[in-house]
Amino acid sequence: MLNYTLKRLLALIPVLAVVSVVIFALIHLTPGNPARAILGPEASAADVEALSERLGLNRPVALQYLEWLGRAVTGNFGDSLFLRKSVTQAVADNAVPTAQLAIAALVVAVAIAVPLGTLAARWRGSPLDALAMGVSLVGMAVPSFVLGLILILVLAVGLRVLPVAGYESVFDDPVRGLRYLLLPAISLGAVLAAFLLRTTRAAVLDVLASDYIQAARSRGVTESRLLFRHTLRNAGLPIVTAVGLTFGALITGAVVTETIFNIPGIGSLLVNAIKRRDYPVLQGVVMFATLAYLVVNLAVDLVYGLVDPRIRLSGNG
Amino acid sequence: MRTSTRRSVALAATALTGVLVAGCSSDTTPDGAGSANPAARLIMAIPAQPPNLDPDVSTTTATSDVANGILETLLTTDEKQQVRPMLAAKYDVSPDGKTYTFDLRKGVKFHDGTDLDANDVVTSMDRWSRLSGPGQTYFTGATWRAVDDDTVRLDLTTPTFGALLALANPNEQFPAVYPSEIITTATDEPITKIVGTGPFQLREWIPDQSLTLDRFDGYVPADGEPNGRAGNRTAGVAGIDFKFVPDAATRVLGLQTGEYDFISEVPYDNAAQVLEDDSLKADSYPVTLLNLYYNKAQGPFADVNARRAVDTALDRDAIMTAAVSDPQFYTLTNSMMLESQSGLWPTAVGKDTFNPHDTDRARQLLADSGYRGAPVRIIATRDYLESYNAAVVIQEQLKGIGVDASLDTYDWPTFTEVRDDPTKWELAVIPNTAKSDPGSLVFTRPDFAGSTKSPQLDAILAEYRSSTTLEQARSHYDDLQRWFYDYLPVSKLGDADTVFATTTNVDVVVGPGFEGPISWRTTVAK
Amino acid sequence: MGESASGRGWRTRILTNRSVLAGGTLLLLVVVLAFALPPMFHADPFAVDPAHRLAKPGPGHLLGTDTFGRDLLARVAAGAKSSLIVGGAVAGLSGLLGTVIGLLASAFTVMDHVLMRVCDGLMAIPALLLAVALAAALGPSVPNLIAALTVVATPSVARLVRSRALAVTSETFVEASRAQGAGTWHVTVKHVLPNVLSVLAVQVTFIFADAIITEAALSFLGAGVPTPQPSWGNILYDGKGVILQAPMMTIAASAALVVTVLALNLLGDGLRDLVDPRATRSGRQPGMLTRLVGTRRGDVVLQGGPA
Repeated sequence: MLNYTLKRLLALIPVLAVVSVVIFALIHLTPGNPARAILGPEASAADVEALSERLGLNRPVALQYLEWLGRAVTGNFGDSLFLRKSVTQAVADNAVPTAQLAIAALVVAVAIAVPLGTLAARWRGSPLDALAMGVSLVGMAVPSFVLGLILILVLAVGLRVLPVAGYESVFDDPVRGLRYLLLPAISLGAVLAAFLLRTTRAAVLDVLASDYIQAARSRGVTESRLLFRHTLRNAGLPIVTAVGLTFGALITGAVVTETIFNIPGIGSLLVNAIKRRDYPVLQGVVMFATLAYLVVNLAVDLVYGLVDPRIRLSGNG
Repeated sequence: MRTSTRRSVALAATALTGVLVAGCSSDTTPDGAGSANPAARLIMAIPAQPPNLDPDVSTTTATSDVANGILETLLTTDEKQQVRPMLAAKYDVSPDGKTYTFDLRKGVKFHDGTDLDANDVVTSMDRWSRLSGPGQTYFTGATWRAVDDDTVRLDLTTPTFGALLALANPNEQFPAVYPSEIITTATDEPITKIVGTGPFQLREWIPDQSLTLDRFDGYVPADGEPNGRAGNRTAGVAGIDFKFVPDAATRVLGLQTGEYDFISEVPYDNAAQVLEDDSLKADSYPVTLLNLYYNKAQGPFADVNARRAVDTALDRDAIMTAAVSDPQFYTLTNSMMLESQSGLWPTAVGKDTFNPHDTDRARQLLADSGYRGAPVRIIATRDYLESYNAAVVIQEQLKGIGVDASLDTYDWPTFTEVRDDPTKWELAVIPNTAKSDPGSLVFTRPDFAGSTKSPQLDAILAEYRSSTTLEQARSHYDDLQRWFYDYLPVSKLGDADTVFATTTNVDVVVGPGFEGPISWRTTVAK
Repeated sequence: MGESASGRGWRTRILTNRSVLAGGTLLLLVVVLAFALPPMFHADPFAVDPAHRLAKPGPGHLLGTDTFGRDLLARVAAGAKSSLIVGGAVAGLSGLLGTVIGLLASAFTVMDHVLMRVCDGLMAIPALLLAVALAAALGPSVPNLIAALTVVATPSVARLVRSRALAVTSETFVEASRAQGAGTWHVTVKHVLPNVLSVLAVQVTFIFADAIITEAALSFLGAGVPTPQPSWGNILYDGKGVILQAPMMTIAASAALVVTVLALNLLGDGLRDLVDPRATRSGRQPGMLTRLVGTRRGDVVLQGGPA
């Protein structure tokens, strides 16, 4: 097991290297220049050129990459051109709101999907099942930003029960923080819920049909106990791994959601960096997001590997 | 007052309150919503944070809008746009117009507690003259000297009216006075330690989130009642909390739910929504010269006849209506500058001929110019919605006269790069900021997009810039206008307003011309 | 779990599967509306009429007009064309490219290592970020957009095809074929390809749906189909600012988007039921997971369990 883990960890390195090259190239190939953003729309071309020179942007891209790489392996990702702090600091500062949003969205998703999916499986073929599947299908087709806008319209503006946008850390003021988080968490979580609903239902169906459950039933265990203690425990694994795998969707969903709800998280950091061509931050954020994504995937794989040796042994490198 | 305006009568019902006109009083009288509470703070949502707060370096209005409450200038303007003293108590000009002597006000303090002296002014002005656009235009070769602790002397190489205007300018790249300690340790990079003499001090700036100003309790005001930006500038609120809210819909909704007191850059389409809400009020002032730039370096529009053809075809009302969605937010005018500036810069050149929108004549002119169907790329950016909207309509109008027009939209950083490359476009819609004098208009610069190269212009500008007084300068404006319509460096589409909105208990005073709300004169009745 | 792609059985099975029927019919409806409707109404999605912007639905403009006074129905129908073309092109291209890469990787070990590392790298970058970066770097045009989205989608197809190919080539009947002297090319075409096509079809259907959603998200961030060409994402972007004044823009484009993606999801679900019935019962569903998350789990799943 340890061997496998180490192998997988080491395998991350070439992946990260590829990612860093791809992203660096893309960023520097994109037209537009941070110097112009610093100096403003009517600065003369000469001034922009001079600043670009001073910022070292006119050197060959390969050289700039190697310099970046050299610093990155020591943990130094440079300083933002606009935020007056280091990239690592910016990422750390902005990770907190995104983490809060992600966790809240996951809670929403699980709270909707697991009970509904379990019941849908329990009463398979019933109207409830059909409803659940219908909801899931539609939910997976609605972009989260559309849902977000509609929620704002109805709940924040129409009914005025929740704030429109903004953010306050749950650690600073739990009640206010949660109020700000509710709408973004729902719009992000709803899409995840749609997906998780199916996974839950399928996993529970699988377990319900298994010999183990039949045996328990014949022993006289009550239905509800059967459902919640035995079934969910066994179905838990696929559900948890599915949750882990939605991490990627969470990241991309966060980008758009944070824009609508004005949450100062990683998504906003990224969008602003793109707007201003804040190269160090762009590179840093994508590397960080990728690393987090890879680590979560690895964790999921490891958990699965622990439980189901067949996967581990036959897994492709 | 306004001439050549095209206002739809049907919209009188949604008339805005307190729209500004050049030369007339711009002070709005306080609402009867309760008296101002000086202990209240103002929460203001703006779309983007300034890249930095250093007016010497940054050309964005976001910088000057925030910084002009923190940093001050030797001179300033009053509500009639006349030059008035600010950090200087008085100033003298020598008879030959080359030497200015400024007597500084006594006892003025910086936010860090130090006193203002002539050395601070001299070092600040040296840096500003060297780095900023207006500084380079009017003060190259000039010398600043501290005669004694309270007196500053400026020696120009040639006398020019522009010097006084530039020194009194409150807008982007205004000549800010910093403590000399900060200047001497500064590089050419934007200064980050923003310490000034202004009515507000910078308490905290969390990039991309918020910027907090507090009233400076040690502020030493100038004499006299507040008059435009002159006189007593003691802050009317205890502080301003700027929130950066890029999404316009979020800004508007936040105002409606009371999270913000004041929002800027209300999208035109939302203005009506704001006006219908009784708990809110909105106002607008013209700031943008929306221009259609021609690529004069290469391509079909290097020929002035082709330019004239396009200019003749444009239906400016349709374009501007699409641009700002409502006729009350645009003005058509023959002047290169804002209609609202015609008090100081009047002109009748082009008054009846500037918007012919004659498609038949345009087609004829186009054929005569030798245009044979070459592809014409119009570029625009969606980050400035009014310019993008205009471009869409222009494309359709030009297709209507037989121009093979396509539209390329870019994000702002890419757009600024593309427009500097004459191989990538033939027409560009660019929103220009208004300027206080026509010689600073950006399309007169040869190094700006569009490649304006006109010996005729150079001659007029030389005369214009050597004017020693404002009156002399104004006499050249008609020459510039004539050149503008002969050479057609750009086709002016119209003046576009910017809309801001507040809750009813906020009272805002807007500067004359295109200056915008004066931060220290805003009050909140809470 | 080798599955013969020949024989009368599968055609009948496809046509009688409920999901496939539902999804397919819906999709057909969308296609017909997209291509047949505009000519019927002589509606021009580009004709601006600023004086009548943001008009409510009524005679002359069945869905009202947009921010430029352009007919909304025409725009949504034209947007369907855009979205379908982009989605279809991405699905087709990534299917093709992914298959080639996957087959190459499964056949030649050296290429395998290189190609899979690159694929891993590309798949590791969250899809939207990669798409935005590519779109920004390449520039605003529909071909560039298709290229960007294809790059994002191809790695997962490549992995899928590769693992399927590996599974097939380890089957005994392939060993037997090889023992009889069949070359790599012969093995690939006669044995591997047919077995890959079925899962490929499922994957590609989901990629189609995904591409449509990603394009909408890209347009929402300002980096999608270049205006003034209509796409649903563009309409949503324009409609966002006027959501209170002209909610129809948001409603119409959203509805069109949701229906189309739904149709494609139904189609994909149905196809997957036919291809791998086990997968629907277990908690590990290759189509959706690989779609939403772009992870390697897809290949693991199909291998788990007895053939």
